[in-house]
Amino acid sequence: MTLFDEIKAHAEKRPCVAVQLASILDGYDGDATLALRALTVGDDDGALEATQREIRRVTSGLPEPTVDALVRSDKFAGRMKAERVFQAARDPRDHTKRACPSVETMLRLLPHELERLVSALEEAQTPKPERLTDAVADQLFRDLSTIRETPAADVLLGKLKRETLVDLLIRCAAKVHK
Amino acid sequence: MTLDEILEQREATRTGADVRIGDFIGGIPEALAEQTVLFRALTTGEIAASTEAAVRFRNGVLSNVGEAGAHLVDDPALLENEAAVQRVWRAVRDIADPSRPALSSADFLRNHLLAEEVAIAVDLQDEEQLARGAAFNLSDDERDELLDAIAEHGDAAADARSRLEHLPRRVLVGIILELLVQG
Repeated sequence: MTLFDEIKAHAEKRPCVAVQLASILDGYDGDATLALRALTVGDDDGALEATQREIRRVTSGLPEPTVDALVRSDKFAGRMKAERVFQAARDPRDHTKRACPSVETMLRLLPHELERLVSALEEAQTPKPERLTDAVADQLFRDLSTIRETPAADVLLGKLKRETLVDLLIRCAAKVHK
Repeated sequence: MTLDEILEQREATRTGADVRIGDFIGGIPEALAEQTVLFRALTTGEIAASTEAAVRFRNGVLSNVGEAGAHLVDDPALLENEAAVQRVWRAVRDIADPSRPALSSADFLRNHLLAEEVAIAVDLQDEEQLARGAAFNLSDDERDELLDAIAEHGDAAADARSRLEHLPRRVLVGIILELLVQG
């Protein structure tokens, strides 16, 4: 098997994170799920490229400073998020297939629903350690306390799983308020 | 059920906040002022469509005024005012049938509402947009209340874990860093 074949086979088998749509969509309490697969560099580039194409199409005819102001004002941030989530969303029954035919589906989400999916995608993007034990939590708390006012704290927290962050936050709140 | 199907189904029943017409349009007869419309939170695509329509409108205006309007080319107000009009037009829905806009067209809104009235309508729409996302974001007061409850009852604090689990990572990280500094 060549390196090319190995990478291709690996890419097709990349695990997905299952997301309960009830935890994403307001007003939906069914049991449908969505699978999110970590984005490759190419997927991310594809999302960026599609967003740039959209910016060029929409802002055609505008002077450069106005286009810059629009882009800086986050007017297209939602589009970028929708493109990334669209690239990552897979059919829960068959991860080799996309979950929806086009990015239009993601554009029908409310902005905060899209944010929830982006957060879920972050989970898929980097494998993270499992839930905290007391000993690990205490060690983590001590480590973070020593670097709390340095950028390293942010970096370390960025490596933790959402569930771990919630555990840690609950423990921190309890310690600090004692 | 696929995500497409769920969103399709929801589209017909998406609700919002009931708003008296008199709350954003002034000087109209009392009976009309008391009527209500629905202010709906906009989807990501509707927000993008508002921007796109505003750019089209601006470019259309400028192509019609030619040389005489050259000074308008860099005027951001032309784009911003129209983006507000477009956004309000998309957000305001018929109370009896939320699938229909309450106003016939963005043109109608632009030609019949004062800039101040559009600005008030934008504020009302902002409130609805924020309220819809409220479960996702925490105000300072809500955050303090939640942290106090956790400090007192730990994991057993009512809804604490599920509320935290809905927050974006950046908010969780921000709270943890703040708590570490306090500690």
